[in-house]
Amino acid sequence: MNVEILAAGILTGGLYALIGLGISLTFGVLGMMNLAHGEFVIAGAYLASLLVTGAGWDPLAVLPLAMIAVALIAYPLQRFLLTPLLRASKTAPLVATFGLLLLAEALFQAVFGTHPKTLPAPYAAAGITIFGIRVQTVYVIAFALTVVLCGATHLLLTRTRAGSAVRAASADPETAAILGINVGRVYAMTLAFAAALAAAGGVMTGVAQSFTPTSGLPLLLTGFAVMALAGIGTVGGVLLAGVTLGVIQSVAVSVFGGGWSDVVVYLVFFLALAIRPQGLFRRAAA
Amino acid sequence: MTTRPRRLALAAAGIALLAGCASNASPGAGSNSGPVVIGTSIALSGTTVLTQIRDGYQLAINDANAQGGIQVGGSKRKVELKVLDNRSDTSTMLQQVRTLVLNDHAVALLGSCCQQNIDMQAQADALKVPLVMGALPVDLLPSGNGYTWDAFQSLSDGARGFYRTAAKAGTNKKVLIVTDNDAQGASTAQLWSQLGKAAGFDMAAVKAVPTGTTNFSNVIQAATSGNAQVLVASMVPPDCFAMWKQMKALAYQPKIAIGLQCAQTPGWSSLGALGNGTLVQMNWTPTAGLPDTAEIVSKFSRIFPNANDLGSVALGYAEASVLLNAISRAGSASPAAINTALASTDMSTALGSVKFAGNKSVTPTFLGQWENGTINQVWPAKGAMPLNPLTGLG
Repeated sequence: MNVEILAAGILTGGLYALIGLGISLTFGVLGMMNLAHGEFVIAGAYLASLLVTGAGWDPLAVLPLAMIAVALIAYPLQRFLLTPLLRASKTAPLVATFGLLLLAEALFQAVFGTHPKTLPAPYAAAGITIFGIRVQTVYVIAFALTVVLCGATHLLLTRTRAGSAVRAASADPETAAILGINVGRVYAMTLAFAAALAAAGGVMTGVAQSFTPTSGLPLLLTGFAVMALAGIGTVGGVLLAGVTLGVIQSVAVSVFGGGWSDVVVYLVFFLALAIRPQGLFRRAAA
Repeated sequence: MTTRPRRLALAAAGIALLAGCASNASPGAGSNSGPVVIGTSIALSGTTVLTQIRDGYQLAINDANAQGGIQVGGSKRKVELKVLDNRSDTSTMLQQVRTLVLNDHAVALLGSCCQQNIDMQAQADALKVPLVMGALPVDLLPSGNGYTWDAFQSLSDGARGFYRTAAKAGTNKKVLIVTDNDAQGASTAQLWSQLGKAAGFDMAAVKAVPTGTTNFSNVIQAATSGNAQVLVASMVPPDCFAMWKQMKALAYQPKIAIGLQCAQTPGWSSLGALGNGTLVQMNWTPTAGLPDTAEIVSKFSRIFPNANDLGSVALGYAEASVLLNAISRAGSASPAAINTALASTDMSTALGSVKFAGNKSVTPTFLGQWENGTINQVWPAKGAMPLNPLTGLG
């Protein structure tokens, strides 16, 4: 094992964190496990592909548009479908989002076909040398994007009126409603924001790797592992958790072989839940 | 807030339960009148989509029915193909095979693809119903109880063809083999290693990765430190996409590369110039002069412009033709009689001649090379174009 493998793990972990951030936000604020989160990721990639492969745009230029587009899809889903279900039962949205997962997969397959797609970009297969370590440029960009989006999310939640409303609705929705906060709207805005983060992860996944209609589920599971490791309600913890997961995975594969890649993810997931259910980084990063 | 981690665990369990859901089949009585029913549980959605093979099956059955059906024991009977989408899920496939045989009275089965075909074999043996398949290299078919018939290319032929081609490509003959870590991947790695050594190549590194791998830094490090100039990758397409990008970014430059499974998808063209020069093993090419090429091209080239997709149609057409031929010769639509008749198959199909020995029949193998979104045959010489350098990774 050498520093290249560590560096690859850190940078891959950045992408994991970007995908896990939206899941953590949704669960932290809404108390809702969104099984369709991976589909928001893939929706971002597919929507970006329309302008990237169709019109020759650069994926980074398309990224904000993809984020907005997926947020616009997520908002009404939460406002008119998931929030009413959430008020009726805590478990109903779980089933509903699983239904959305299946629906999205079928839609992607019908509209975009089943062959894998990738988002072409000059930096997709380019490498750069940083401190003597050769790394994949797209992962450096994805890592930087994750840091920026984590920072923006943290500031939004802690330094703005909207963030105060989100935190209030998360802590005690009934009291928040009495105080005049439109909890339904806050919930919808939260899912829309989480979906936008997912779409950003989707665009970067599309550039760095590839995507198919069924790519969402593995990404969702990785996002869950990140959230379990980070704990709920800690943005910085999500970044640390993603990086930790990426490094552990990279090192485990290097030492024990490729078969340990998935084992490590699920082992971390269940160990984190069993030993420290509040997450490894909650106190440190709160 | 304290209950959320528990809900998280419940959600994980829920995912596992929902993913494992499968329909139940109830047994039914056999039937010997009306149309002859052939069944297939095939992946038409999920991670693998085999609509081309299904279309090939249907083409053969439509051709037979257009002739009034097939001759079975002195009378002509129409043929009905029951198609069930197993959503690329093996548990679902196993249930569906039982449903096809016990409920729908299928007298014979047609295959799906790859590992699913291996898994289907045990079910066909247990139900004592013949299963005709392709899309599984004959080298990988386990020895069963005699109900599975595999007419397809041989990995060995493909490997020999590849090493013969690589020997002329000016490499140092050091090979990196990367496969999925499933049974098919392990068999592929073993076979390609053995044949590579026999052809005078050294195995610099042999790596197995799970499906869904996105970080190949350890594989690339092994390739670089072993100075491997020959790359053999046998993985699902998304993994190859990620690895090709990472190899280019980390400046690993093999001189010749083949993508088994992965470069067979038409989606390979979305890699653009990065995919240029990659080799692919093929069971059919439009330039090889195989039977029924004109019919397949005329009927399907507009739907499936890619040569590999047309090859899958040809595969389905060939499999179904072999089965229909056996049913006619059996003189009865009983599974046992059809199975006996399959053993004496000797016919020309869209994949070449089929004659079983030990339940296997090896059809011809070709090597193609990706160049600007299309695949050109580069081996064997008949119908081939000259080999280009591996510019995509160069």
